[in-house]
Amino acid sequence: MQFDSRKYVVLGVFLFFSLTLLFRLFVLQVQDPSYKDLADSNYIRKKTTYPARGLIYDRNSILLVDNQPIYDLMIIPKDVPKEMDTLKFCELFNIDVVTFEENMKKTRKYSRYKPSVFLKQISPRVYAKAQEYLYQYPGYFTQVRTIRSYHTRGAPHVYGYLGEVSQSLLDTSKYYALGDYIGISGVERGFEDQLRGIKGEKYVTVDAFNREKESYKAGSKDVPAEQGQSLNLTIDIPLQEYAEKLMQNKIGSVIAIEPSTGEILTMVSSPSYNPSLLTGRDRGENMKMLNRDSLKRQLNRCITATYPPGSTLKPLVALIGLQEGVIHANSYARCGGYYPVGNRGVKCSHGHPSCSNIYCAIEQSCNPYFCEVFKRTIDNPSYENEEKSLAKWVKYLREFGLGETLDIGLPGMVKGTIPTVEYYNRIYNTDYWHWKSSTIISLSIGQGEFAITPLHLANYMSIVANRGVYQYPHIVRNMSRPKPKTISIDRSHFETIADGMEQVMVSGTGKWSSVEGIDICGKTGTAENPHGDDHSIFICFAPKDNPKIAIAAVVENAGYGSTFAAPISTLMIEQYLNDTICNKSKWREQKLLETNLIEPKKKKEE
Amino acid sequence: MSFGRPTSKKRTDWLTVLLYFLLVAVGVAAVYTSNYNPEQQITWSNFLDFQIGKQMAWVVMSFILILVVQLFDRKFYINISPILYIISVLLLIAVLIFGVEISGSQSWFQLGPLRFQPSEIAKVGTALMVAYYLSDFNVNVQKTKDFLITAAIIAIPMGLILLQSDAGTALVYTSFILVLFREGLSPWFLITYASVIALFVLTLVFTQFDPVTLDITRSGFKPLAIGGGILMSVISALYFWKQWANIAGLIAFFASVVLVANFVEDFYLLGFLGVACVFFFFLYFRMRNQAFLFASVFSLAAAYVQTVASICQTFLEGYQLKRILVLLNIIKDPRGAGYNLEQSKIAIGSGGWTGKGYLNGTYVRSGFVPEVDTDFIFCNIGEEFGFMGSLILIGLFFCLLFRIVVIAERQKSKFTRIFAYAVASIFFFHFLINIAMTIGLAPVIGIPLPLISYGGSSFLGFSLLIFILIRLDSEKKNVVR
Ligand SMILES: [Zn+2]
Repeated sequence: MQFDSRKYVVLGVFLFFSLTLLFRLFVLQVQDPSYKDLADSNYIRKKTTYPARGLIYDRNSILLVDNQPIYDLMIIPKDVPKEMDTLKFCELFNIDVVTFEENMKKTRKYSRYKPSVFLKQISPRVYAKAQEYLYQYPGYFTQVRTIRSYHTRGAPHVYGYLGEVSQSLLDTSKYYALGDYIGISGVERGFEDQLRGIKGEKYVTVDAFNREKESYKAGSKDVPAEQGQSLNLTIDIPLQEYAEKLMQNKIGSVIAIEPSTGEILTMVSSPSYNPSLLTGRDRGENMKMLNRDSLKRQLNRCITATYPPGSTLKPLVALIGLQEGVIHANSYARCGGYYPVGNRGVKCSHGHPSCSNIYCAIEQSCNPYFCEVFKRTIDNPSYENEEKSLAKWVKYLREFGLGETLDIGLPGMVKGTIPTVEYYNRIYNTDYWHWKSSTIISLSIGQGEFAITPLHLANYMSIVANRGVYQYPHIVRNMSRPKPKTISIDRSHFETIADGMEQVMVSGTGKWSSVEGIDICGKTGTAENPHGDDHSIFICFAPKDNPKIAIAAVVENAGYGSTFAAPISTLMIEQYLNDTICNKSKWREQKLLETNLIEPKKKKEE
Repeated sequence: MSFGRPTSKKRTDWLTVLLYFLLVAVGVAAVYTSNYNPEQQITWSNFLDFQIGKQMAWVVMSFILILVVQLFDRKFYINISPILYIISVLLLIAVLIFGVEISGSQSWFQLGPLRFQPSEIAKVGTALMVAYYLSDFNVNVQKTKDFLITAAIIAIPMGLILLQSDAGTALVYTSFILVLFREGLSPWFLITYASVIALFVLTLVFTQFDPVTLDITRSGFKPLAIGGGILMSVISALYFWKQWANIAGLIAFFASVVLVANFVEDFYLLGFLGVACVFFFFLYFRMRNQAFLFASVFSLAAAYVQTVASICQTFLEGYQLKRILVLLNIIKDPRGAGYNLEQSKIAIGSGGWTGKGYLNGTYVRSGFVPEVDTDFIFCNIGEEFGFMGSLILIGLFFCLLFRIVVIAERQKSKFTRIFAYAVASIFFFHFLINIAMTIGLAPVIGIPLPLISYGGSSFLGFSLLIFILIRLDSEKKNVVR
């Protein structure tokens, strides 16, 4: 055959490369001793160096959250000899034998070969003692890492807390190891990837007595840990702390937004908790205690509690009516203290003459007036039927973010519910009868199929303050978010509503909370509470022109909006804009600080 | 088309069978040690929860299949070759649509608890098809048309596997060049194959990469063009001794390439080289002056150098490129690819002459070495059995390869010979690259060590290759094609 001799070439290729492999292996395994030394894991220990988490600042770069070092006792189970003096060991570290056995089991289950945390956060005193005696216990060593320390008790719901990684995450993630900490709530969770930094690796040589000697190869193989990136919150911490003081001993939320940017200035959820409870050695105990508390202190009510908006929805009802052309600024609607609907009727509680314009209606929060506006909006002949006009009405609400999940940088935001056409079709439709505007008239005064969060309210107020420009609210400066959009309602209508809301503070339901020298636009509201006293709601922005702040406040079981939610909001405005509280407002501040709404409620429950 | 007696006494090549079972034994032992945990008790009831249990299940299934394989004769395998090939290609297409993605490659079918990788089986189909086509009496691989068809038979599955982002398995198909070489392909192809790899490495060495983004910060074209130009000038001067016109013309052309590279953008440079390559080849074709061939080849090589870095960035995943660059010491990645390679070398190196003993490989099991039951399984053998173990394993593989070549050369059937060479080439490529990558001689491209690595599809594929060959060999007395 012609090419027979080529078999020698092929065999030559096989032989040449096999010999190349063997030659290289001979060098690696026999000739070069360095790899043998390297591999002896009794002599070289790979330690993880933990990065410090990114720091958290407020909007004016005031440090809120930083780190402090703690010491963990680590273990590599395979290096622990079978016979060890367990009792003496337990004595050294102040633990009982049961804990010792449990931890032994847990760490062994995780891995026999990889290091993991045996005891968390040993005290500095025990650490000092351990340094002296640890050489007697092969397989154990200490490791430094950092935990959070807080410079303020304010805004714990915003930055949230840390916890140990869950087993399910350990199974799927390459980054986390047993005993690592991870953000559980707040921006600690929302921005975990930025805050956590990157772990490093350090190699140290260990002598035969389990004592760490020096870094291996002068640290040339080490990879330093990289600290996490810092976060700048949009929170104004002095204002936040002031608002929390006003909310003390009350249940509810206060959110303030800077309308021109959408930055959230304060986010108060009351009652609150001390963030230092959820860091350090007693975290577990404290967590149990907080979970037992019926007041649910860790809950961020601003984004998870939902209420019907009550009368605070009226400016929006008016805006839609104006835009749809069913009313104008000087429309008249009769108020006999009562709006007749079927056999039920909607009362007007405020005792005032009938309003001949919208300013009066907002000022007096006249229920029949807004029932009329809503009726005209739904019965608008330009639409085919009620379904079409209600759908349009709901579309406006959605434009204002109501019933939507707002991505402000915090996890766990509740979407809430707002009425839908489908819902009424399902509930009220039979073959011979269809729902009408009168069926759903309570929507006009913010009651009925509504459940929205305080954040929704504040966002809506911020849009009104901006005269229809929707700046997406957010809690971390420069975080990615959509570009601002413009609501499909004419700017002139917003001016009309602002005039009406200004009247509220001059001579209407909010006049007792007005502040001299500041042009505040506000609207009170009361959310019906079937389980107890009604909730007090207030929304406002100030100043009227070029607003600097928009606020929504909800105080649970506090009755009318004018009694608690309004003075809290206007005091915050005064503090934020004037940096001081004038003497005329002092008595209101004093009264709020003294009021305790939690104690009587607790008593009642008992 | 057969003549002679339809059947005669079957003669099984027991030496190959023995080598096969020795390798299987090594493999099962290695898979067991790589997942060994003295804390865990393996019982009959939880057997299949462990890697070793799953692997044993595949081994048993493969044993049954290799018995089935013995039931058919050579004629059957010849006839079924095209069908098997088409099925392989269809499976490779199907996996792109219905497959699941595991660690970056979409190359798996998931059937309940079972995972199956069609690219492992496609090697068998392709080997049979190449043998089928080339064994036809009218086909000669030296003819351009026949060569192109053979190349297409190999390139189709290769391309499909590349689409699965499994560059490693795709590269295995380049080993068929040894088969074609044995069947008469010009040695220039082997030289070209080696040159392509050499230029690839050289270009990457001379290119500067951003260590983080892997963006090209400086092209390696100019230093290579100058160096290559000077080298080629010297070669031309020696080759065309005293043919002054040729020498001067070539040197002028090499210089002009370097000059052009100085003044135009990359895109136009590529255009210039492409046009030059085609133009000079046309001139060579017309005038048969080898100087033109020199110029054409130089242009082609320059164009390749110019594009190779971009090709890497387009066709390789970031981590694959990173592995190659780390291996060539171009960038350092102590956290990722570089770390793994270092750990793998430490594990093997720590074995010494005789190793630490079976199940005593502490370093591998400390979790420093990645994928220690699949791509890096050689680390176990290196650590626990030392250089003697490595020597024996490489010896076993070499004996197997040698034996397959012996079998191939004693065939009167061209089909069997070609198939045997295909089997040898595939085994050789896997064995060479897998071990080489664990000791830093080849980039980590993630292909299994035949019959040793954990993984059912590949085990099945390699078993089929060996036992189809054994069956074909057993009737070598009845010659046909
Ligand atoms: Zn009224």
